[in-house]
Amino acid sequence: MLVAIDAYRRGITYLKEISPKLINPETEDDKPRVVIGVVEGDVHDMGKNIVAAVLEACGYQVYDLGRNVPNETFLETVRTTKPDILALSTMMSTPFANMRILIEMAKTMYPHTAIIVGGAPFDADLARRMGADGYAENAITAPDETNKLLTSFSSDKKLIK
Amino acid sequence: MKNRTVRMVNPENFCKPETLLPLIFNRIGYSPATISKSIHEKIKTLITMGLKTIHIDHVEQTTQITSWGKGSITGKGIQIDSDKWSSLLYHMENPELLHCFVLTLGESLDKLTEEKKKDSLFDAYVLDAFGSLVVEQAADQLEKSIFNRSNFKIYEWSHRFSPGYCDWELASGQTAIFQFLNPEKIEVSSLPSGMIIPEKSISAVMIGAKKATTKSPCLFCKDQHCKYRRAG
Repeated sequence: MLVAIDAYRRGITYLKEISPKLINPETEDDKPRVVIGVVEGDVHDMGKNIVAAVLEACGYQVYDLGRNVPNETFLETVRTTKPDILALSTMMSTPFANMRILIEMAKTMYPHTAIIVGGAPFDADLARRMGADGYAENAITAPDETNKLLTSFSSDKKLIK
Repeated sequence: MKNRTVRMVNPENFCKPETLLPLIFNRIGYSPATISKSIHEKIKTLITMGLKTIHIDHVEQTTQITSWGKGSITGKGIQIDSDKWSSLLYHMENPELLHCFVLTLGESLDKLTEEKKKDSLFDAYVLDAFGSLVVEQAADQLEKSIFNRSNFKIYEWSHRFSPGYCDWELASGQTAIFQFLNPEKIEVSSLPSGMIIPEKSISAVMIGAKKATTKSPCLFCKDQHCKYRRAG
C-alpha cells in the first residue's frame, strides 16, 4: 500500500507541475475536508501520515497538522477550515486526558465536525468513552470508517453506538 | 556509583544488513518468499543508510535498593512506583541493586526518517521499523554486557522493564529515570507525556539480587491477555 501511495503522490505532484489546470480549485472545494494530527504529548506519526495519504488518495482534502499538536492549534484550524472530520491520533495512553478535553471542546465549539480517533491504545469502546464519533483501526479501514462517519454524522447518527 | 557513558554496545555485533533484512521483512509484513527484487534491494539500501546514520549511545547507573514494599521500590536517587515489580522482590533472595539505563540511536535517524516522510512513506516506514528493531537489539546487547561484568556476575538479574509497561506509569516513571540519569548529556530528553526524544531510545531498569527465581512479575500477574506477557 505504501508503495502505491508514494507512486500516487509522485504522480499528483508531477501532474500539478506539468499542468496546474488539472487541479480545479472548485472541485477541490467540493471535497470533504479532514483536519488530522497527532495530539500533544506524542510524536509517533507514521500511522497518521499513512492515514492522511490514504484519505487524500480517496478524495478528501486533508489538512495535516503534524505531530505533538497543541489543542489550540487543532481548534483554530477547525475554526478556519470548517472540516467535516477531525481525525486525532496517538500511540500512547498518557495524552488521553488532554485528548478528552480536546474532543469535548471541539464537540461543543464545532458540533458539525465529526471526530474520529485512531492509534494503538484504541478500540471502538475506548473511542466511544473518549467522546469520539468514530474509530478507525488502521489505515486500510480508515477511508471506509471516515466515509461511514460522514454519512452517519450528516444524518445525525453516531457511528459508535 | 558514577554514571557510565562508555560505549558498551557495538553495533557491528548485530547490525549487519543481511542479518537485519529478514527481521525487517517480518516486521513490516513482507514475506521473503514473495517479495519483489526491487523492494528487496530498496529495503537493503535503506538498512545500509540507517546503519550509517545511527549513533548508539547510552548512560547508565547502579544504585542500592534501600527499601521496597507494596507499590514501590526505592533506591538511592530513584523510586519506582509499581505494585507488580515491587511484588517481584518477594520472589528474590536479597534484592540489592537497581541498574538503570537510557540508550539511544541518536537524533540523526529521526532526522533522516523525517526527511524521507516528505518523499516516500515507504522509505520512512522501513527506517522506522529499522530503528525499532535496532534499538531493541542494542538494549539487549547492553543488558548482556551488564550481566557479564565481573562486579555484577554474583547477581541474578530481572528482565529489564520500562516506564509504561506493567503498572509503572509512563510519565512519572520516565521523570524518575531521567532525574536519576540525566540523559540530556547524551542529547536525550523526554516530553511531559513520557515520550522520549530521539524517538528510537529506550529507558529501562533491572533488579539485581543474590537469587532471582523469576525474572518478571508475569508469573503472578492476573492479566492473562497482556501482549507483553513473558514465560519466566
